[in-house]
Amino acid sequence: MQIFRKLPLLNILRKPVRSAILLCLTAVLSFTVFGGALMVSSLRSGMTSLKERLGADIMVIPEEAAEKKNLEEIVLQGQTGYFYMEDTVTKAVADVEGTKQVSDQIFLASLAASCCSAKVQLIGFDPETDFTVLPWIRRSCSGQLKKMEVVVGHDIVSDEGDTLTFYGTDCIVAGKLTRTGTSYDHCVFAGADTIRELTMSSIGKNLNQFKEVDPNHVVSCVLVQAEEGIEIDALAERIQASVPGVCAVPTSGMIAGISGNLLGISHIVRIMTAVILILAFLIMMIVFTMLINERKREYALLRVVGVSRVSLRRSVMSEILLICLAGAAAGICAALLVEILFAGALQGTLDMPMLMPGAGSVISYMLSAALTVVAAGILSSFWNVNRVSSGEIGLALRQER
Amino acid sequence: MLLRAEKISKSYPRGGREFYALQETDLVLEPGKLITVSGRSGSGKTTLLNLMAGLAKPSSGSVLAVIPTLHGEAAAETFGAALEALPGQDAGYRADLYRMDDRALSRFRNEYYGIIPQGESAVAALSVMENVMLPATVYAGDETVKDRAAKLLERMGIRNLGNAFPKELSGGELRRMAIARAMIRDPQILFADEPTSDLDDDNRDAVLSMLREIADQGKAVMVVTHEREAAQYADLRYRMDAGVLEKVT
Repeated sequence: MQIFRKLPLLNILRKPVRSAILLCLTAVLSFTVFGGALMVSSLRSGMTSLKERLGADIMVIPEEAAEKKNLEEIVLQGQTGYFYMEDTVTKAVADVEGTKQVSDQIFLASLAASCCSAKVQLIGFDPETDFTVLPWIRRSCSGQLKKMEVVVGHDIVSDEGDTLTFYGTDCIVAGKLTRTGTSYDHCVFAGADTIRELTMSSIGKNLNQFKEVDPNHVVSCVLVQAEEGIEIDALAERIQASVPGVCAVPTSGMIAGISGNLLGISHIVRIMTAVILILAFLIMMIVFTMLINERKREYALLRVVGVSRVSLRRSVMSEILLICLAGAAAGICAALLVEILFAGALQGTLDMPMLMPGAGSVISYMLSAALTVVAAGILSSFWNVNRVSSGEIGLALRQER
Repeated sequence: MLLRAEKISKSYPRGGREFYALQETDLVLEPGKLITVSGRSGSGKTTLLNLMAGLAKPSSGSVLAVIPTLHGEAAAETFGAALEALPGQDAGYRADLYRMDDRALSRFRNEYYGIIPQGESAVAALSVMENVMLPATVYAGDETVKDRAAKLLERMGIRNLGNAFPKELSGGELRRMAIARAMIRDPQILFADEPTSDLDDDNRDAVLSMLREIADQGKAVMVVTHEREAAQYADLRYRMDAGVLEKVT
């Protein structure tokens, strides 16, 4: 019958309203700390993932279609679209001094109509020269892509072996890519010959606005990797000057806006977290002071029956620790749930790539949040606990009767 | 066990001056004797009880306990330098309460004292039964504590309230619970501070009878009260006035 040892737990369980209020308070704190850290980290991971996925230093696109914004809409915002230019551009770009590697891609947008399984962005790449998509595909799926085989982005509702139809033509899903947190999660990737076949189908169904294109001799963009030490902006200018009718867009410029937003959002989240942390700490201090003051007579009684100062301190701190741990767990679970359930909505609202960091990082954020809450609970109550346990018992009984 | 206060006093700084709540006082609590200390509010009765019970440190003097036998092997170690073996075979020990550190004094209170504080005293989250058992579980609890608590509740006439919580009890019932709690460790000395305040006549008589019964079982009982009726239950009566203790009979 270790009643005294169980007292912290009994105090929590048998005073449910008081415990629930304290639990909510600590849960809000851990929700904010963990949720904020996870959000900033997800945005950072999304940014890194986007940089990896873009993979190239420069993207060359047709001048008339590409007004940079169109490209950004496809690459960064996940909107569907397509544009074409002569495939001779690829060689012309490769000949520009300072280019190390080039690879072209063909874009095609499927429709939300009966001829297509879904409205998605189709991206065709050349397996011979590709240096951006293939490494990613190899990490996610095994084997080579055959003709009329596609791999789908993480958020496409389809699995390996499924059939997807685009413009009435069936394609087999050869694999599903790992999540990137970017618009690429909603894209379908295929080899150049497959995408050409699909372009033909779209023209055949009068669904391609560039009706005069010859799919065998067009590309949508040329990805360029610069030689080491070459200044990217200068190379982009050289490409634009050397190859008529194209626009060379440094990818760093495309993501500069997102980087700026990320920095701004990270600042706001950090400031908000700090403000909430300070406020929660103050509120916890007031609440714990009230809680401890309200029970001063109980503490004096425990001393009367023979509980030592150290044991009393341990008992009160155990109760606070239990509340903080339970609150921290509740807040962390709630933040994780919100992050998982509403990541898509958040990504859409912020218009930024988001990718949940790895399990190791998430666990470290969880532990940090729990530690923050526990530290806040202990620090905010330490002085009061010390005060009630150190005072003269007779005086405490007299004051509180 | 016998408890002897030698020249104890208690003073506080008040309004820039030293205020003596208790002037230099000697007092002995003997086994089987019930003493009452009466007096007006603020006369120093509770201060005296607190000093005797190890709940407040005296400004001067000492409180010595003469213990015939120590409970358990570890007791001597626990009470440390404050414990002194008396000369002669089986003469027992003498302990100076205020030479003990907090750990030892807390253990001493738990081991030898039963204290009924003034006013309502209960741990709200514990049931009546748990409140009564509490002192026996602060250190190593034993298996028989529940039976002993049940018997004490029976004796106090509140057996049926074992599972109730303190907020559900009347003032008289709470007072009986406090007596049962003070008795659970079978203490050598029982301190009761105004045990009958706010009680009706029937409850007052019942509580005082119980305290008398406890003294008759060989315990030393000190009752601080302003009830005249308590006098008829006492072996020795004291009166406190402005911090000065006087023997009435």
